[in-house]
Amino acid sequence: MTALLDNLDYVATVVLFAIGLWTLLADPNLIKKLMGLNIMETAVFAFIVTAGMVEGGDAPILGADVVPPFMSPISHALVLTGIVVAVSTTGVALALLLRIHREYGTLEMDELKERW
Amino acid sequence: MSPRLAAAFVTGLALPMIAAMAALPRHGSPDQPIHTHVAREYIESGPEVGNLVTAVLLDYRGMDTFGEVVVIFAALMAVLVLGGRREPATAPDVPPSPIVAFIVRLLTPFIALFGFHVILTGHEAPGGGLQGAAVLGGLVLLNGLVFGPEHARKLLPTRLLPSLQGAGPLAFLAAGMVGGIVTGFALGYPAHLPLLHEAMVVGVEVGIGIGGALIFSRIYLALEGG
Repeated sequence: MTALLDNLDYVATVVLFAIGLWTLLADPNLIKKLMGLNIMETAVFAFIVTAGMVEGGDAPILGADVVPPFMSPISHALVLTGIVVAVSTTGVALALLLRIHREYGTLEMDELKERW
Repeated sequence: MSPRLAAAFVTGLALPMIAAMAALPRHGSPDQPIHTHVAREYIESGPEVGNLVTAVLLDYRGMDTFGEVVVIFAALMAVLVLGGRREPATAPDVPPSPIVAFIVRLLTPFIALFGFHVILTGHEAPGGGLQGAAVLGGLVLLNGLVFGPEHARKLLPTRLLPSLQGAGPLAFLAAGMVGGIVTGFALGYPAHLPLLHEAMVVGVEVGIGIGGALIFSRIYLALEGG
């Protein structure tokens, strides 16, 4: 239990991930499914950044008057790449949703199933 | 999926994950594996001054970032093929509140300046190409939301737009080839020629920044039906 309390930050990201996954699976509205996907992505980014943290650490921007320890630069770079990919997938998904709305006039899953 | 089934599935997935989180090394301690291998190597033997995140993005994992700028370029292509709204959105029906309009108009040049600053100083201060691109893209989006997409379109360089959209991948390709000629490795940065090294880093950053900002703005405008 103390291990769990020590890693409470990690647990918070799991809870966020679960909220996103639940929205993705259970909500009938496609826009809200996309928002659920984005929440899941945010949870993963938060997890990676949290893992790269060091107690009392500084941002990994080296110079004359900064001293170690530094946060892990890899996790920051990884998340930066991830954010850009998330933006790209969100843009394409929104374009697809607009296309679906143009064809069928709705974004609700149950209404879409009736029109197939 | 029915909400009850989804809730059962998500709970069944989340509980083992939470249990696994308790088994991870204590969060924030400096002797976790994430800090003791590659990251330590980068911090100890990397550049002595500057932004290590940018160094990881452009030097150590340059190929990764190259792929990433190709991904956003491909996303723009996909959005343009799919098309946006049927009838292009025009200026908002309700004119923006005078306060909001004034503040946005007042802040636009400062936000743009900040975006370029973030792009140009990204290799030695907090920032970088994609961060600046997000600032500039957000500026275009803000103007589009307040004054309508037609106004936001005027902020973009119309004539240069088609060629500048590919600036990110093209700048990377150019830097990669220059690096290949000088050092013998694609995307290699010549450490013994500080001026050329600086020029290559800034060139790639500017390419990613300008290209990325235009791609973000263009995705928004394409979704609005333009």
